[in-house]
Amino acid sequence: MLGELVAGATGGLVLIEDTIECEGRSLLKTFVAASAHRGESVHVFGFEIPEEEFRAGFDPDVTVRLLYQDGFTDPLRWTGEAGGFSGEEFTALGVSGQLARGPAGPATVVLDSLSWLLLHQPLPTVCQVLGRIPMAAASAGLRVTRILALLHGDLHPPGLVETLRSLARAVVGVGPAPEGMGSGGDAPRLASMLQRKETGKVLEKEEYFTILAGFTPKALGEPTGSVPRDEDTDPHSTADPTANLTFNLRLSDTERRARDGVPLPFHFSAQKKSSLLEASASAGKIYYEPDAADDLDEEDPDDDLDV
Amino acid sequence: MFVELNELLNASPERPEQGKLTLLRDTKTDGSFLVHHFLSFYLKAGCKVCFVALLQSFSHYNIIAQKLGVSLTAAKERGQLVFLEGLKSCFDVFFGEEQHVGQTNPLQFVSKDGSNLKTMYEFVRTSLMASGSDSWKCPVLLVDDLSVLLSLGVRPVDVLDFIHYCRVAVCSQLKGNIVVLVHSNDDSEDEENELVVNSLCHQSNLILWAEGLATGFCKDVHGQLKIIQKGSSELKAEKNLLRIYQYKIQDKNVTFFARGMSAAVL
Repeated sequence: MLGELVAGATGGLVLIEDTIECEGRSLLKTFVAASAHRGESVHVFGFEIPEEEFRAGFDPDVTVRLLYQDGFTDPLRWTGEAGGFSGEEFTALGVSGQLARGPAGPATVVLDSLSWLLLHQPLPTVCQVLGRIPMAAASAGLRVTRILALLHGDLHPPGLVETLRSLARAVVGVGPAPEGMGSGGDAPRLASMLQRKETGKVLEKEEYFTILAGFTPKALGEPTGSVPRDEDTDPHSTADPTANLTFNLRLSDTERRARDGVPLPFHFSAQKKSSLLEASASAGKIYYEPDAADDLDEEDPDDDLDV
Repeated sequence: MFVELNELLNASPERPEQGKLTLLRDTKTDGSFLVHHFLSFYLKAGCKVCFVALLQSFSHYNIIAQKLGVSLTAAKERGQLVFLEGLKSCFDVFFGEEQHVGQTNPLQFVSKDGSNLKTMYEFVRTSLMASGSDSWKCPVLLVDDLSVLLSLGVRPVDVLDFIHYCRVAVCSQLKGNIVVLVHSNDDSEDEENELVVNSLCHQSNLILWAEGLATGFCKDVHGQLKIIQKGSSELKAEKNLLRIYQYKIQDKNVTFFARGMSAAVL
């Protein structure tokens, strides 16, 4: 499923979520390389790493299609250097203005990273801009096929992350894979993917993967134990516990018949009924023999009460 | 500098790395021995060092540096060390005489803006900008420590912006290094501090995490050091390398050993 997502199976907002244990920028660059190989122009709005670090490792045919907006050098306009992209310019019009400078045709917008924007602008503003970018670009005559955003999941409150996940058409969470996977030089990772199709169906899957030189993904299989085993088909394999005992747990036929013939204690049968009727004819008598220590007083103790 | 730590990090004063952000982190213990290590390491390596010392006085660092074989006073005099003594500068902001025009105190955010660290960034940039007569190797910014800025009322976003601009100027443009100390706590309720720490973990190339032992104070083992070498994502996906050692701080040295292999136990 990761291969399909990288190959462009879904448009709209694609969120790549990473944590401090496992970085997600290499996966972001994999998506970028795949978009470029498909002939799309890729507009990167980079805020966290310098341009040369982002461009490193790409093939020449990818870098040709990469248009980098430098939000790293002076995003807050402290040094006043010209030519950069500041955080304030991240509006739908600002972004589509930068897109218009590129070639016509399908375009992919890459945000590295969305976390930087969320720390500097309120969440509703960022969400509105993300929603309006395709429309603003369409009114300028461009087609934005997808918006790839890198999000550092552990920098934001869980509610914010959930909000962005609900906006996204696909979410890929990157985490470390257990030791021993893949060959020695690989860095195996676990991708937890969620994809919302146009029909409304939601697909969720986990896969192991790694990223090779040139930012090509390589699938490493799926985690075992995630598919629940069908317990009905398991044969009953436990041994019979009543075999091989020194005492008898079974009943023979005569014993069984005798047991069935015993009436239950509270079962109201004809015999019980007749014994009860005989007993109620005579009143209950109590016979009491006082011994030497008893002090029997025949008077009624309540006689002196004036009630 | 501590020779054993250099061996563990595969670092040498003759060939210091360039363009790296190193995060020093401590939890339930005092990680300032790492600050002293890097201060003396970079001074011995011949780098120009800008030390933003917000926690202790100059004489405190000087005494310890002399034990490690470096004189901070001499380094200041020959122009290798630019020392911002936070304790004194803060005092000057409130009680000092009126500053001349053009001489803004780097810590003036304490009384004026409240949160904008732009003047401190400009102080760092002008200190480390190479002048013609300098023959020092790559510039280094050392900060001790960032959690103090949060305590002074700076917002976490402004602390991160300050480090961002320092990375642009020092690591990216001047090809120097930055070493920053932060305090952290695993189950901390201080969300602002955790935001700064996590954000720096994402950005740094090397994390040295000093932790107190979970079992409490021990005479022979003072703590545990996690060394996390972040894999670079420049060419392909790489693993983070994690190594854990325990350490004991002595008067002029820190010894490192594998967990459970303290000399007192063997």
